[in-house]
Amino acid sequence: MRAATDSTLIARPAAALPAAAPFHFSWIGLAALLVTLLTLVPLGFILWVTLQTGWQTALSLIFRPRVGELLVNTLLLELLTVPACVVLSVALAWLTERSDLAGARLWAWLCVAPLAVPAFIHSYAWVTIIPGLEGLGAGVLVSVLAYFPFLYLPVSATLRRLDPALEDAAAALGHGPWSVFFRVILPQLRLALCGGALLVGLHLLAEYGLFVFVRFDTFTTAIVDQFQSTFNGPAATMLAGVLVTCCFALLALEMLARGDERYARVGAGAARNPAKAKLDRAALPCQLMLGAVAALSLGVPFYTIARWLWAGGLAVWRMDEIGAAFGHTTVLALGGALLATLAAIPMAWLSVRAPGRLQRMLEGCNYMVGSLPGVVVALALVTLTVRYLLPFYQTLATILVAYVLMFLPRAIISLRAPIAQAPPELEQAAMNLGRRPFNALWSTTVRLSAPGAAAGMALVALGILNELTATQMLAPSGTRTLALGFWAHSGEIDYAAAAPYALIMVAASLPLTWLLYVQSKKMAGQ
Amino acid sequence: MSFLQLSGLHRNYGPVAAVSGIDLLATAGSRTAIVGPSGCGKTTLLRLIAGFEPPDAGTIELDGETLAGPDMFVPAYRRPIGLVAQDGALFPHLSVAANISFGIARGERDRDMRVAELVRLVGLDEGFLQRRPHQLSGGQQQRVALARALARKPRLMLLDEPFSALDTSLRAAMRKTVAGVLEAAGVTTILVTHDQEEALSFADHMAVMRAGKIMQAGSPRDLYQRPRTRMVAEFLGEAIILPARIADGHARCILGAIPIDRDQRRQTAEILLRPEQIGIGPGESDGVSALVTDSEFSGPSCTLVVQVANGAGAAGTLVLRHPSADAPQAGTRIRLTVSGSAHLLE
Repeated sequence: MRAATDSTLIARPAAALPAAAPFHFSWIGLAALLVTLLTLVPLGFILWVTLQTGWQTALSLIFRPRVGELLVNTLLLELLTVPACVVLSVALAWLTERSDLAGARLWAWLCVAPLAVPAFIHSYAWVTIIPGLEGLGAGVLVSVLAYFPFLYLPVSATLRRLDPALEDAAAALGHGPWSVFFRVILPQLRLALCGGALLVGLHLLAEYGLFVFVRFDTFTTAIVDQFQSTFNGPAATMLAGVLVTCCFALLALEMLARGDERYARVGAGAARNPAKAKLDRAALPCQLMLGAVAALSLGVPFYTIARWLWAGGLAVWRMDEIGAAFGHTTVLALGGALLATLAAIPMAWLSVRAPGRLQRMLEGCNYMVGSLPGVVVALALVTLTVRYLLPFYQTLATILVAYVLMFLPRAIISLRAPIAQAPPELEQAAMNLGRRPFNALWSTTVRLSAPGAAAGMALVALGILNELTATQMLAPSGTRTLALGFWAHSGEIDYAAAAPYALIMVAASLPLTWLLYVQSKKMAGQ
Repeated sequence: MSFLQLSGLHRNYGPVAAVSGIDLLATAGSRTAIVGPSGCGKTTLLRLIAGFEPPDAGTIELDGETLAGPDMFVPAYRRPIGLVAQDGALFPHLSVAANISFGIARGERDRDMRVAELVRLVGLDEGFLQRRPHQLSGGQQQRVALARALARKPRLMLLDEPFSALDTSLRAAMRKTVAGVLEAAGVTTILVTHDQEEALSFADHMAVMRAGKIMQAGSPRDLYQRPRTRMVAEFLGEAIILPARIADGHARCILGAIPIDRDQRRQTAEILLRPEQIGIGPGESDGVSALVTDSEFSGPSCTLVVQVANGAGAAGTLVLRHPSADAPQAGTRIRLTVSGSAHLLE
C-alpha cells in the first residue's frame, strides 16, 4: 500500500512520462552518479596535486626540455602510426569485404587476430628477431602491426553494410570507380575511421611495455620510470597531467573530425548486398600483401614464441610459478570483469531508457576517464591510498577499483545494445505484478541482457589479462599475473622463460578476440 | 526509329536465369514501362541497361551506339543514362545542392545556376538547397533524386520503382510531375514497377515481364484490352475469364452471345471481359438473369458475388464491382448486360 502511494506521488508531476520512469530514475540515477563520481577521482587527483604543489613549481615541472622531448616523441608517434593504420586497415577491409578475393573470410579473421597478441609481446617478438631494433621507427612498425585491427574492425563492419544504391547512383552520374571510392565510400567511413583512429591514438598514449622493449620514450614510460625512482613525487603527477591533456586533445580532435554529418541511410527498405569487385590480375599481388601483413603481425610473434619454447625446452615450464600466475590472473580478470559489469548496469540502463542531459553528462565523464592511460589511474589510486586510506594500499580492492575505472566504457557499450532490445513494457509488467522497481529491472531487463553482459565481461577480462602498468603499481605485493611474470622474465633478458607466459596469454586471448570478430559481424547484421 | 534496342539479353545468377532472352525497343522521347510481379527480373534488366552488370549474352544499343555486346562493355559511369532509385539513394553526407551537383563536372561554369534551375524544375524552391536529405519528406527526396539524375543531361532515364515508397495520395501527383518534367526535357524514359496501375497511366509503351521473359509488349490500352494470355490479363487488372464456344463471330458463354474482337477458327476458347463491361439492371429488364449471393461494402464500391443461371442450363459465379450508391443487396435478383466485345485469350 505504501509503495503504491509513494510511486503515485512521485509520478504525478511528470504525468506525460511513462509512470515508471521518474521512480526508477531516483535509484538508478543515484547509482550512476556515484559510479561517475568514482571515475572522476583520477582527474580530481591531478588537479588537486597541481594546486598543492603550487603553480610556480608545477609550471617549472611542466615546462622543461624533457617534457618537450616527450611531447615531440608522442606527436611523431601519433602522426606516423595513425595514418599508416588508417591506410592499411582501409585497404585490408576493402579487399576482404568488397572484392572477390579468394578466402576472404579467413583473411578477415586473420586481420582481427593480431589483437589476441598483447602489444608488448609483439614488441618482444620483434626485438628477438631483430635485436638492434629501437627508436621511433621500431615503435611505429610494432604499433601499426599491433593496433591496426582496432581500425580494421569498424571499417570492415561499415563497408559491409554500406548501401550499394549510393555507389550505383554515383556511377550513373558519371563517376568512375576511383571517384566513387573517394567521394562516396570514403566519406561514409568517416565515423568508423574517427572512432578507430581515436582508439589507436589512445592506446599509443597508454602503452608501456611495447615502447620499453624498443627503447622509445613516451609519457607513459617516463611516468613509470619516475614513479619507480621517486615513488609518487609531483614530477610524475605533472607528467601525468600533460599526458591527460594529450588524451583530451585527441578526444577533442576526434569530435571535430567526426562532425555532425548524418551517414545513416535515408529512406525505407533494406539495402541490397553490395557487389564484389573483380580483382582479376591484381588478385595475386593482393593475396601476397595480405600474406605479408599476416606474416608480420601474426607469424613473427608465433614464430618467436615457438622458437623460445623450443630453445628453453621443458626447463622453462616451471609449473608452480606458472600455475600461480594463472590463478592470480584468473581471480583478477574475473573479479574485475564482474565488478565493471555491475558498475556499468545503471549507466547503460540510463542511457537507453532515460536519455537526457544528466545522462549525457555522466556518460561523457565515464567515456573521458575510460580513455585515461592505466598509469594515470594507478598513480592517482596509489597516492590516495597511501595518504588517506593506507589499509587499502596494494590490496585486491584497490586494483579491482582501478580495473573498473579503466574498463568501464567497454562494459557499458556491450550492455547498451541488449538493453535497448529488451522492451520496457516487460519492466512495467513485472512491477505491475508486484515486483519492486529494482527487482523488476533485475528479473527482466538485466536477465535479458545477460549475453551482452557476458560479452562485456569477456572484453574487460581481455583488457585485464594484458594489463601491465596499473597491475604493477597497485596489485598486492606478491601478486604475479601472467603479464607480470612475462615482464619480470623478459626484464632479466630471460626470453625463453618468458615464452610460456606469452603463449598462455595469447591462447587465452584468442577466444575473446574471436568473440570480438563475431560481434562486429553481428553489428553488420550478418 | 528505335532509340534503345535490347536484343537477346541474358543474365544468370548461378543456376537462376534472372533475364532470359529479352528483346525490347524504345523510340526516342517515349515512356516505356516494364511491369511484372516481384522477382520477375525487371530490376536485373534495369541494372543491365544502366551498366551496373554486364549481360551474359545479347546486346544493348543506345542511339546506334553499342553499350554492351560480345567483347564490349561500357561501364555505368560512361553511359549517358540517368537513374532514379526506389528510395532516391541520396548521399546522406551531402546537402541537397551537393547531391544535385554531384554529376556536374567541378570546373563547369554556371554550376550553381544549373542547380537552382534544376531544383525549381522539379517543383522545389531554393530554400531546400542547404538542407540535408534526412530533413526532406519522401516525396521531396524523390524530387531531389530526379533533379540529380537530370543534372547530367542523360539521354535515357531509368526509374526503378521511384514512387513505391510514397504514400498512395502522393504517388499520383509525383507520377504526373515526373512525367511532365521528363517530357519537357525530352528524355526517353524506362520505368520499372510492379504496380500495373502506375505503369498503365505513366507509359505510352509497356512490357509485361514474368520469369525473366517479356510476355507481351504494346501500348497500355492494347495490353489491357487485348492481352494474349491469362497471366497478362489478370496482372493488368480485374478480369472475368469465361469458357465459351465460338460461332458466327460470337462467343457463347453463360452471359449469352457476345461479339468477339477477332476472327478465330477455334471452336472453344477462353474469353476475357473486364468488370466495367458488365452492366447491372433491375430484375425485370433485358439481359441475363442472376442472383446476388453476397455483397461486400468497401467504401465507394461494393464487391458483388452473383450466381448466373441462364435457360441453357449453364451456371457460374462471377465477382463484380459496383458503385455502392445503388448496389443491390444479397438475395436480390438482377439482370446482367455486356457492352463492347469479348477478347479471346490464347
